[in-house]
Amino acid sequence: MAATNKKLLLLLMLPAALVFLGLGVYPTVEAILISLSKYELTNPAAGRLFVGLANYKSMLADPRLWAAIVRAMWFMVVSVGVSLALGLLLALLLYRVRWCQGFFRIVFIVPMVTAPAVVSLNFKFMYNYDFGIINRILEVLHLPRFDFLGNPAVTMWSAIFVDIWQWTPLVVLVLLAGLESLPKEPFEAALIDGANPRQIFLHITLPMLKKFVLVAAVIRMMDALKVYETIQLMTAGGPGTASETLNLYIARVGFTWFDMGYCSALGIFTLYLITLLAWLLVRRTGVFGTKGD
Amino acid sequence: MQKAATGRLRKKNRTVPLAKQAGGLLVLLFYTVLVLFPLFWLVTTSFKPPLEVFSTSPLGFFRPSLENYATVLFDDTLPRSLLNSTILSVVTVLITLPIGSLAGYVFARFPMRRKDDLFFMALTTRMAPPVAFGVPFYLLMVKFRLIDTYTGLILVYIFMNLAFCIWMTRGFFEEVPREVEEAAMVDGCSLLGSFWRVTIPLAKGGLIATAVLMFIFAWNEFFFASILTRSEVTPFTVHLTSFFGSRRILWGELAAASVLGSLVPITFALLCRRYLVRGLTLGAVKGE
Repeated sequence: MAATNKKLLLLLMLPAALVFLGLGVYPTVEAILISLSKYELTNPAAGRLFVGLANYKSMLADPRLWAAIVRAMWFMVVSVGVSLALGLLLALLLYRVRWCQGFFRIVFIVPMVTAPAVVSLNFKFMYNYDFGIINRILEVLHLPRFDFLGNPAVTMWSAIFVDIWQWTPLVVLVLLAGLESLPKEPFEAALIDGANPRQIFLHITLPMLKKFVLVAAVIRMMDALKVYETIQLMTAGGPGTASETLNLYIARVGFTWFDMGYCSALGIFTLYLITLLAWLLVRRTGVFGTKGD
Repeated sequence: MQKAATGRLRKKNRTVPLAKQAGGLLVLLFYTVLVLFPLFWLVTTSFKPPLEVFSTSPLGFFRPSLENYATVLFDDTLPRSLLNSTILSVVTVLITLPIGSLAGYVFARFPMRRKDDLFFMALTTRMAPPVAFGVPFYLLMVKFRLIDTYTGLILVYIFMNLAFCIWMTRGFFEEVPREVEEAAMVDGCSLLGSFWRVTIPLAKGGLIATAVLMFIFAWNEFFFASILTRSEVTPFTVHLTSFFGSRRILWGELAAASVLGSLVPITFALLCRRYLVRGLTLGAVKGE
């Protein structure tokens, strides 16, 4: 009985395992091999030449890459930080006001399930210098116009704003679920002991919410590190390279310059970083229910 | 006496100073406007006749017209791209859900030390920027002549969603009490029989939610669709970029196409909103 069950189990897992082998392992091995070669699709006659670690070495001497990495980190830190702070504030308000909860919940769902491509192109329209609605509103308010997508000092912020707009609602919903799951007794006890609202928030609400804040932070980090079309469709990394983040740069190396070797090296490097980050998040936080069983 | 104390507390809770409450409400309303305005603007733009798209009178007064919708539906390949999006997402779900839920069931029911690894995999495939897999998948599809075919893109989507699907279904199966299954087996069901007749019906809501989420992920995907399709199987997200002409951008038509393409994921998400947050947080937040 036990033996047949074991065979059956393996059988049930087989399709999934095959998919991972075929679509996960093969491309990864292939990517490593390509990353060790000079392989440019623009120069088909040259074919694939083994060059060892040359692609990885050129990463070190590529200032554009490091600028793109810095921008990606900047994007992530600001976007995640602002959406967490704003999300916490809104969740607390929403929890307290208890007014039209159903309405807010529905409103908050819409941005996060709309395709980033749609959101990005819509903001491109609204940000337009000549006829965009945001500049029209500024004009009506007698404020100076902003070149949201054309001014190198502003573009990154414009892109970050879009990401915050799209994903803060998720933070609100996560933290709201957290607030609703909190036991009432500690709050009542604190009130009886005469704690003021600030003390209650700092010493009771926040520590008990910690798990949910961590979950929201991890999810937001994941999504902020993946951002591609939000920036690509709005500015294509421009003006110049003012809003070129790591993902945009990798896509440019691979699919504008068709430098497959270098692009693979960049991809492997990114995957390595992400895997490391994911590993840290899994081991350290344990907020996703993998600990304790 | 305790009752009196809690009663007083409740009263105290409810009589939060009106001014404070009003301030909070104001912030909430302001934020709601901020969230809704871009969507409102997208919808109004889609109803503006071409000449009025740019003449943004501050209040947005205009004569609504269906011209943009008529153009994108009858003089454009948008219907085809919506059909492509549908085929790609539906087939992805129809293949991934059975494969993933079988594995998810094994993970849920049988002692396994690999649970951490499974989650790690789900996290990494969801976390990794698609761009990082761009070259190997592109070359793979070139090699097997799968560029601009449904098969090529669907294979990529299956890979991107499978670990997520296993992880999510595992969570839903774990919530089905083991005793119910054991009872079914005592009554003569085989392991697979009890899985099919008892566990799946009990976990139906969760399975549907997982399917809907995978559908939305596939429907909204852009990067792989942009490098692995040319014209035949272009989904709607990539089709949107075709409204950028060399000399001008057809904003009205772009807005109409955006609205049409967003109706499906928004409707689906609202229908299973009970599970949405759970899905988007990889099961960490169980929600309502």
